[in-house]
Amino acid sequence: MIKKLPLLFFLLLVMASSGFSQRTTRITAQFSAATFEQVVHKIEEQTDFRLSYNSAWTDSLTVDLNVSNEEVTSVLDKILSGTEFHYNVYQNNIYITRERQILTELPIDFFGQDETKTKPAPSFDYTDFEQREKKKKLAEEKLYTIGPRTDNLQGKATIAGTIRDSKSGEPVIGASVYVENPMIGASTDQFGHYSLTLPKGQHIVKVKSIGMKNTHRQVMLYANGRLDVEIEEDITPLKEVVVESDRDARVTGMQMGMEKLDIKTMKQMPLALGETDIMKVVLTLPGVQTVGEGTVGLNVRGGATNQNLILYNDATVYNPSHLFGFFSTFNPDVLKNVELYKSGINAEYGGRLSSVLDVHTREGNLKKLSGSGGISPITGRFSLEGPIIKDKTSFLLGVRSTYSDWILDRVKTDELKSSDASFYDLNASISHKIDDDNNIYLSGYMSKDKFKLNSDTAYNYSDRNASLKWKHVFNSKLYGVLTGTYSRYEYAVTSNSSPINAFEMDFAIKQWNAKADINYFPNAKHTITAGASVTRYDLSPGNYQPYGAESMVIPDVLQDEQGQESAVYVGENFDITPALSVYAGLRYSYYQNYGPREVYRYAPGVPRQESSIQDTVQYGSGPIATYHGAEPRFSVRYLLSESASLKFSYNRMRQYIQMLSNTTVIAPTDIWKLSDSYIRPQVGDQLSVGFYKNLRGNMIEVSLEGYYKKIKNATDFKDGASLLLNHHLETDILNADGKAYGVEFMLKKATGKLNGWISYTYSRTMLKTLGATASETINSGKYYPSSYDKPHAVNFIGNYKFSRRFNFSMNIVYSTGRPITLPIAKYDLGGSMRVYYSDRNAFRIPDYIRTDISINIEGNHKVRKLAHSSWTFAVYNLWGRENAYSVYFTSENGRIRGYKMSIFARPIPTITYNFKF
Amino acid sequence: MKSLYRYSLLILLYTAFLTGCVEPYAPPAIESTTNYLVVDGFVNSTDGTATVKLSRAIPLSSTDSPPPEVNATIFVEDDKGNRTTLQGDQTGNYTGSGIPLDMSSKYRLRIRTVDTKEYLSDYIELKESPPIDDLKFIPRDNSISVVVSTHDDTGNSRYYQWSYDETWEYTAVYMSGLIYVDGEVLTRPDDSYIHRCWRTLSSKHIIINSSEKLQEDLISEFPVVNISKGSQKLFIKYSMMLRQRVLTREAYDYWEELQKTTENLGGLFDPQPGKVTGNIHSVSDAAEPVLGYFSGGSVQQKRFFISLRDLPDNLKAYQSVGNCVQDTVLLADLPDYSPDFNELIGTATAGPVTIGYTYASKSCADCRTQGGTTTKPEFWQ
Repeated sequence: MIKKLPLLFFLLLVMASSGFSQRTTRITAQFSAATFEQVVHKIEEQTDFRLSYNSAWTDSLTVDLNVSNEEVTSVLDKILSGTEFHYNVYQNNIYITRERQILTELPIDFFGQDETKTKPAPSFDYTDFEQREKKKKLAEEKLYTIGPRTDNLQGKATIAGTIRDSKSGEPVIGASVYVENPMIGASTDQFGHYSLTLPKGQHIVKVKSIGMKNTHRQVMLYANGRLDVEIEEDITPLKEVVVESDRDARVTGMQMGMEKLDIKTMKQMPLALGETDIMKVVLTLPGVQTVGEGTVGLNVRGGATNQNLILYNDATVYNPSHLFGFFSTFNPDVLKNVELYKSGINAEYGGRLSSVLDVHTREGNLKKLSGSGGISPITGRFSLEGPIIKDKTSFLLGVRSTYSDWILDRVKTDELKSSDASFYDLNASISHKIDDDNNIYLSGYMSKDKFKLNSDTAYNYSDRNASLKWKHVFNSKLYGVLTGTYSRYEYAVTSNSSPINAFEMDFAIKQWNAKADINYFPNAKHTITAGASVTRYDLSPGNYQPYGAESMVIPDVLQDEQGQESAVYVGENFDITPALSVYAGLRYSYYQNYGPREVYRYAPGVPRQESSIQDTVQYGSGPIATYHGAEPRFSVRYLLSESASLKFSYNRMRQYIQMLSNTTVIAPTDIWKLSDSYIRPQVGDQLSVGFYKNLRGNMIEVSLEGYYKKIKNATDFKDGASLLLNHHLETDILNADGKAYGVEFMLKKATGKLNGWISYTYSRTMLKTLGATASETINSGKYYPSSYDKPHAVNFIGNYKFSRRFNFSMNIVYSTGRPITLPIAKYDLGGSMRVYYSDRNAFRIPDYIRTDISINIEGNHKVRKLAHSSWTFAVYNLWGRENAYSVYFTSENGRIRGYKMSIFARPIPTITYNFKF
Repeated sequence: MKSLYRYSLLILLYTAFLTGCVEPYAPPAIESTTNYLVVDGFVNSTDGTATVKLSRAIPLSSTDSPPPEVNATIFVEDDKGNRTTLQGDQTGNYTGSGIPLDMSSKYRLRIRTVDTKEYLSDYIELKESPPIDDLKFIPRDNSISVVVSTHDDTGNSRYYQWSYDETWEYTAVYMSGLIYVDGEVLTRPDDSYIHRCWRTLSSKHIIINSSEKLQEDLISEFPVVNISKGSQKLFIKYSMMLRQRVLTREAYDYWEELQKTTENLGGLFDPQPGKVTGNIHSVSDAAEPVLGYFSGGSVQQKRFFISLRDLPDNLKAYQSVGNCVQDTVLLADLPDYSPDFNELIGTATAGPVTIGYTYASKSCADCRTQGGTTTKPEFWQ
């Protein structure tokens, strides 16, 4: 019947044409790479035929044809043969149809695009849910034909496309797209894009992703083509707690030392201050440490806090902290996922030594307007998203702010009278789908903090960035992304203790980046990535100005610093055999520190200090110092069995900008410094080996990773270094060598009523600073533990689901106390006792143990209601253990006293109300 | 709603606004060599004297006081080859006077200890201090700040250091009018009253400030010390003798660093403390730490007084009786009276008849128990 229909129409046409007088049914034309639209235009111009067609279907057709006085039907036969299109002629109308339109069942797209019109009258209880199930079933039962029909099923073909959330139209990142026979799979990238090269023929393509319903598509693959799949959110997010699609990825995936966290996983974890905080979640992963509780400074595998590349939609974030680090600046409502790379870092990333923390926000809902928000004791947040043009353009807006100032204003105790603390952050993004092959993403972000702690000194800082991305799919095997980003971080300190000394000090860093990346999938065994990027840095390291009319402060402006970092890279993933895969990449970075700038020259052979300045060299706008080098990246994966693998990786990273801080934790007044003629770029090499095994049908994952790292030119400081407004920082900064090594063990149960993970990490990180003179040498030039050396760390994260609506989570965190410099002697000077300190970091503060719990109660799960809401009750530091934040000694009234300071020393209960509509 | 504020506030307090979670900490016992030489030296160009105190550092856990370093030989040398020997005593204090100090010369210390080690300081410049322009107090919310102002039109001073002796007058809660001598009760003689005392303390903390970031070499109302409302110092009359010196840039850096690492710790963003060593070095072993500093120059001083009546009304406070009580000892019980712990106040009468004496504990009736002396200082007015 199906096949006969066109024939029937054809016969009708023949009969009709004989019965009616017509101008003509023949055309003459030359088509060269013409669109179908142009063909239609020609036909309508030369004949009386009017064509009805859907341009969205036919825009992928290109026509190369020369016809002379030929029947339109025969022309259409030529154009449409081998495609999925058919034509039907009725009187003067020609209808172009896709084959499946004449299926007896209505197609999935029909519902998807025009749901409201086609919704049948609810004459019986036909719920949304059943409808969706039916739609899903339809889609799964249908056979999708990819490419022109042919009998030749030799060789392979590539299908590519985007996996989207059927409800919001958002791309789904990290979804697994695979066929089981033969076992070939891929996962979607940050655009939800995948590319799969399969033998031609019939396949069942399966799609799995966290928190989404599994689905599959039956595919008849004739040639390269496109398959977009919409998948449905699992209504109860508690059902799948941890990334299911990543379950076997840990074993079979190429990447090692990488952790991917989905916002849904993160939202399950107990919260410190009523907010889901990605930085706090990242801290529970093996190999990630922090020096001070409540700070966002991450120390990844023995790296310093400034060695992490934090990307927010590809733009660099310089200070991811709010309120001294008790919050991170990422609003949980707009986040999609976070990836942390600790080793085996691909060649596309560069610029920092230790890790890459890649944060992605969601795309706005393409289908309908929706919002979500939450209220906790300290902050309120709200986000709104929706389509601007349905199914094409969407926006996402997020805002979060404290109302602590408002509270402080109402409490007039002496301690708080002159205190002041507030912050907010804003996120906005627009994504626009130009067509199937072109997408544009625009994202902006801003955070601002202001605080004053019972003093006359006020601090404020702000981080903002913007990124614009254009993704273009050339064909199913090749796509490219052009990205431009801008980041700006600045802070200001104002002090008005006395009008004469009142001052304001500003610091600012600006960064522009442009990059182009391409992903090429030549065949099933190879994936090639390549790209180039240019980054321009512009720093104003200090601007000290009088504040107020009476101030007599002398303005002091440090010279601006400029630098440019360029890089090209290429990387290839090669599946040599099903068991053995290799990734090899090379990045080459080239950095120049630019003038105009004055540079001091120091007398050789004596300690570099102010008194040894010999002369000053004035540089023009040309380069002052140039550094460049190759950064090889290499990984191997060998599958020992279906559920076990062995991986090895080596990578070298180079870093040309460093944060200088001689406080142990990240402070609001830390400055960034570009590499120059004295401060050389940091270079880090890391070797790591890992063993991965899944047990009980992938329910339990076990991994063991070991690493060894060497760092050249890490920054270290002389005792008593002063970093702010220092015109000759090189006199206070020392180049150190670092080494770090460790073993990370993790046992993870990803599914089931009880799920979670336990990890143990043994790690050491040491620095060695051996200068030419004693004052440029620390601890007699021997290796000493860095401030973030915490050898033993145990993390336990557990979730237990009592029911779909009721979930209990618990964290237990243990780590060795961080190293500190303790006094070893005391002495009398001027009638007061003073202390004399040991070698740097020779002792440790007491060990750290903390337990947190949280209970999540979801509102009822009626699908159709105004808003979904949930309550979270959490207790941070359940046992109120007084963990040491620092240990210090002071001279008071001539005597020495030692103190242990704890923050969060008592249990902190919080209640958060979250809603979503 | 009110409880919500309170609750939210609690959370804020917990986090950082109050340092409520600070408790004493005893460090692990540390075994190491700690008997480093400590030199506290100053040459005073105002009166041509030199004072050097030598002592040794002791382990942190030690409860002894640092031992003085005695019998060392100390010279003050100038860069023209002149030198003066200082005289030492048994407390580790070495002094010299009548030294012809010349502001254009540079000076250094040479120390030979009894264990035949020799130490040498860097050459120092003598710094002339400008006079103290003003010394006064400023009332704050719940305390007063004693503030100093000075300036130097030549702009050569820039780095200032102050130290002070503070003296205050106070009384015991009760006035003892009687005295118990060998079982007899006598009227207290005028010269042995123990009701009114004067106590003097020296500054212990490092007080420095600099005008290096200012257009003019000017220190304006820099707080030297804060005295809280209700302090015994302000009950009657308070006096401060402030001394002002000018430091070299190096000396200022030294004191600032010492202040940072031994006084100003305990914040959220403390710098990592490190070794602070001054300008004295061992001649034979460059790696041997020598603590302390040697500096010199002129000293300016100024005294001022604060009487109770000078204070604004909201800061005036008076001595309270506290836990002090008066008790009565009957004449018959007098043999059991313990004069070591108590002082007699007056007579207890029943009508016209003396039946005994009132008394109070020494801490309530003898002002000397609180650290002062009954001798009125000569400068008191």
